Amino acid sequence: MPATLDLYKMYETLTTEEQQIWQAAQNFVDKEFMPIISAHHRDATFPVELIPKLGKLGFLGSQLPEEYGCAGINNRAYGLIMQELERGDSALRSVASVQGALVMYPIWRYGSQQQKEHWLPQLAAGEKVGCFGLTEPDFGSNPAGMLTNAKPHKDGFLLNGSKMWITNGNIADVAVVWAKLDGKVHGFLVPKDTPGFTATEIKGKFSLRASITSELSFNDCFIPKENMLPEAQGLKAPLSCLSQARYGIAWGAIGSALATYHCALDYSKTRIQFDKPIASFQLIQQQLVEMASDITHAQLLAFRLAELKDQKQVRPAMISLAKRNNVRMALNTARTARNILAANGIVDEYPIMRHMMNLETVITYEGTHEVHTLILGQHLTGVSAFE
Amino acid sequence: MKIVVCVKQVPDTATKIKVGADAKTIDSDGVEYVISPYDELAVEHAVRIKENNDDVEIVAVSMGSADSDKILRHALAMGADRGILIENDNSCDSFVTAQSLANAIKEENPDLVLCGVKAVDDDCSQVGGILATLLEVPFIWSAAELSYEDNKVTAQNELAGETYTVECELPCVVSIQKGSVEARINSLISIRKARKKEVNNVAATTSEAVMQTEKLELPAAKVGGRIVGEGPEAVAELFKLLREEAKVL
Repeated sequence: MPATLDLYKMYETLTTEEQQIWQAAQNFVDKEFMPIISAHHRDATFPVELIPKLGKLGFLGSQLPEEYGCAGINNRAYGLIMQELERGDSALRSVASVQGALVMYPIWRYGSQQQKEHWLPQLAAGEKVGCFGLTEPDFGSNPAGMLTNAKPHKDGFLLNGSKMWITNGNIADVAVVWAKLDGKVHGFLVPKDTPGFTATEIKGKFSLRASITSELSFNDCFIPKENMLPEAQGLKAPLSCLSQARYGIAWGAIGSALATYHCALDYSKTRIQFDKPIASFQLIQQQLVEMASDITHAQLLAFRLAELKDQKQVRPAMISLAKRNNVRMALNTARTARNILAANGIVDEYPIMRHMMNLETVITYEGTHEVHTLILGQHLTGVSAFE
Repeated sequence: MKIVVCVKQVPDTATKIKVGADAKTIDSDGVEYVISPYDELAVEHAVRIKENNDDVEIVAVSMGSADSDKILRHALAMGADRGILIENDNSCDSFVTAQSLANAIKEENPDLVLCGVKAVDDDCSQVGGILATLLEVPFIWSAAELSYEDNKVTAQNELAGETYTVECELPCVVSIQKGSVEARINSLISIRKARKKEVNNVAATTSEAVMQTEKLELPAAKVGGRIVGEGPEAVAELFKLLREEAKVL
């Protein structure tokens, strides 16, 4: 079992089934992913051959019902999977988050029976890949302003516009695209071979290098009416998907922090300066304690959030608090770990810089740190700072 | 065809062992228990035989405390069909363990019994052999590779740089060593299905252990080495110290 941190014995509260799921995710990351991530990070590629493996293990859309080929697990077990995937790399967790929370979830919640039966089993198995198009070049934190639009045409719609920062855009078989129809936001399923639909990979990223990120453009794409998500009306629909994904990020960030914390802890015990391990110096111990303390806080939030979500008591502000806190915690932990490793912290022999650069994305995607601050601000004061 | 696989719960191999207050057992506080890795490989071999042949039933058997249910569920998720937990909280030696296992296994009347070459907690490597003796069937020790065809198993093992191939008609007992086969990672669906599979709890059927642990202690801490010099001129000093101080020459 890889090193974890369980000062408050929270992982001891897991059921046998949750422990087995956690162990399966750990084994997958350690055996299949850790040996190859460094090369993929250097080459800015994602190991697409792992997607069917993720599917076979049940890690894609794992909370959705068994009737669609999914595992139907609870929120705590799902969170543990996200934690382990992001202990590997944020790119790996992002693939599972997008497929499960942003593609399968809206099809399951807002789709027709025919859409569910057609797409969900293939997406769960990793035989097909999906992407989620909400953000646009000029509309990030303000998705309500989106320009992408659909106009009625024959037995369907003509879709025009573009979407930016779309994970898996270039490898997706289907895109869940959010567009305005008569001024109201609707969801459309756009298969990759739809005429007028193109995906262009965004190059030159310093962050999430092992993830495929794309720009999607739609030029008079004809979308048959049966490809519209019938139950999704208004911005609440895509925002409900983001809540699912943000929940996974709150857990994933813990995994990233565990990776950098353990790297720094191990390093500090073996790095000799002034004839003794640097772990013996008070300033190093203080940094390790701050990291462990912050990780423990994040774990408490995640475990409680899982309970609330299983009890259907979770509210968006709770998810914002956990996403906001845990990602900032993970980024601070990575920076502290880099500090402990000093020069060695910047080479990819160690995972720290890779995680730190990834987290520069994670802290702004799925709602920036500031947007989550304002969601909480509105929740506390009753006054929106957006409007 | 029926295969019985014996599995044992052991401390996670990454555990930093501490001696308990009784100085006879380990301090279990904070210790994570897992299926012994060689036993896990034995389950994997059994499941592969099942996947390649019709009408194979796999029964996982464990002797240990009630929480050994956890490792039986692991074996069930890998593909075993049902489990038997021989409940026993007392410490026991290899003979007593094998005796209880043999009594339970006799009732199953299996064609093939698999177990790990050793449990990684005590490294005894004795249960498989004693079990075969009590069941009055042949025993193949430490098979790194295993295949099954026409009511016989073929096992390969490397000893002293040579590869030995052994064939044996069933029934027999085979203990499994690490080879080319790796234990599978359980899928979420298989883990969920395992929860519903049957595990029978039975009482241990043996007497008190003959062997008792008198004392458990950690190895002495390693002391740092000493460099006596460099190059040919240090050889004489090294010989002297090896002869007079270390007394190994």
